Amino acid sequence: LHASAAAVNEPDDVNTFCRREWPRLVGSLSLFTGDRELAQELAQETLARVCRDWRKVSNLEAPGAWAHRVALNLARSHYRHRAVARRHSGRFAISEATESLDTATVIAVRQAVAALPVRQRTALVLRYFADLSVAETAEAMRCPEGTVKTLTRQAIRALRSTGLIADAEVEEESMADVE
Amino acid sequence: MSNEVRNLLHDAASTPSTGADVAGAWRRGRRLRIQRRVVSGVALVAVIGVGSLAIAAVAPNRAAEVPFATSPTPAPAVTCSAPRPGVPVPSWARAAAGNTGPIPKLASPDGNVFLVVFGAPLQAGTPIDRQNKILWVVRQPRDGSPLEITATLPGSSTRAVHVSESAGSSPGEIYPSVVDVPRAGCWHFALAWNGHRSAINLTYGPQASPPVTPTTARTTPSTTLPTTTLPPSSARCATAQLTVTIGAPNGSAGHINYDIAFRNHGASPCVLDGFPGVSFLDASGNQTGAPAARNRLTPAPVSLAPGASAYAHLAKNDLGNPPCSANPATALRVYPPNETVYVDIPLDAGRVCGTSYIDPVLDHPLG
Repeated sequence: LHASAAAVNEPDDVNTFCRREWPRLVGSLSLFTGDRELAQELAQETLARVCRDWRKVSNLEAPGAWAHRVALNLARSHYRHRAVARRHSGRFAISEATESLDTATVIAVRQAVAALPVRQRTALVLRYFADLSVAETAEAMRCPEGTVKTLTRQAIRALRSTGLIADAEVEEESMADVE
Repeated sequence: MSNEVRNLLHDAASTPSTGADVAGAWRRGRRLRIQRRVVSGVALVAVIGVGSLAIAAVAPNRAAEVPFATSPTPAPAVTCSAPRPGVPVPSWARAAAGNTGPIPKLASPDGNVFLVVFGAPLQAGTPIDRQNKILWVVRQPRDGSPLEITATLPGSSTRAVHVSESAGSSPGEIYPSVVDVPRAGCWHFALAWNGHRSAINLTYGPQASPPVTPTTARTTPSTTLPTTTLPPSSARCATAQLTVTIGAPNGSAGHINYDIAFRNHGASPCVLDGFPGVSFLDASGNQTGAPAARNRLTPAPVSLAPGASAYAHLAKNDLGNPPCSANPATALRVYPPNETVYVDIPLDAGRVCGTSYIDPVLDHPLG
């Protein structure tokens, strides 16, 4: 009865949540897929799933983490169904120079991230772009927290080997993760 | 914490080109909710039906298996529609497609897009004798936004094809396009315009074999164009065959971005592969500042059907990054990839500072 009234237009809290999560989802998915258009498509589908399950999602402790889990699952299943996992190697990421990085570096970072194995890439994006905690990332990836730490460490080591990250800070991160 | 990694990822991630379509997501969410209810209801009924038969016929304790079947994830059936001449034109598409009687056409399953397929039957590759020309009529207003077409071949590793068509044609809400795909099969077309979406599956037949060219033809007068005997994919685009234009600058801190478009205005397809050469000219026609450096990217060949365009992205260093040239640039000198003939294009680009970067040609603009 309330539901039928709310069903016509999206409730305010859905609106606020979706607008807040949108750039974060597009960003995460763009790093994961290397393709902004695809990222936007998948992010939009993620929001539809959020809306579908809003009653459940709105009661979660970390609805943003839930949305990210859905988003990355959609991305993985997109690649699985279309068997285009290797598309990265054939296509360039869309280049947009940003505040502090030139286009070349942006593309180099995207290619380095895209070249990571799926689980390392997922852990890296969830932890360091979506800013999920180790626990939330573990929950999203359905794996132990220790695995998240290992995967992130491996991902950062791989990025470091491309010369995109200075050594010192990575060591610090590794130590922090070990604790 | 490794803030460096965080900063790097935040700088490398794409920012959305549009806002979230929450209303659309909400509508689709509702549909998904209803679909799920219907699907699980149907599955439950089916399973109970089959289950009770099994119970009656074989073993009563099989009933325990029923709950497992109540959360199915049905695979969407891939149906590939073929355009036909007799398809009725919906009222909203009449302005654009009302007089297309004998031309094959069809509607998307959701009824939001109507297609007139001028190039039927569609063919993989770049057909020699005609084009894979499709007129897309959209139901919801385009409001000046482009139609983004993404074609994928489900279940294969064939690369996706992206085509973006600007809203420059009339009458009605139409987008003409030529969409060539690399392989035959049932292609899934995802369509997006002005926040609206639709999809349709279209069959592309195998590529027609190139015409046989008899080697003894020398003695007979040639009645066919010699260009049709060339393999369409191998010819490099000559400068003379290209119309080179520069899109509106797209500013971002640090760089000013331009898309240099190479349009094949010739009658035959050709291939662009590699980096264009780009330098800046001052008002007296002399080079000013450093030529654009090549970006750290690996080029890939881009096939251009007649009328199609390829794009190379130029990131010009911003004025805030000295040293800068004394004279402002008033034109761009562009050598298409692997060509020694250049074109000069007027461009009020200001003074040239530091290093600018040029990307290899792509099949889509970076915008």
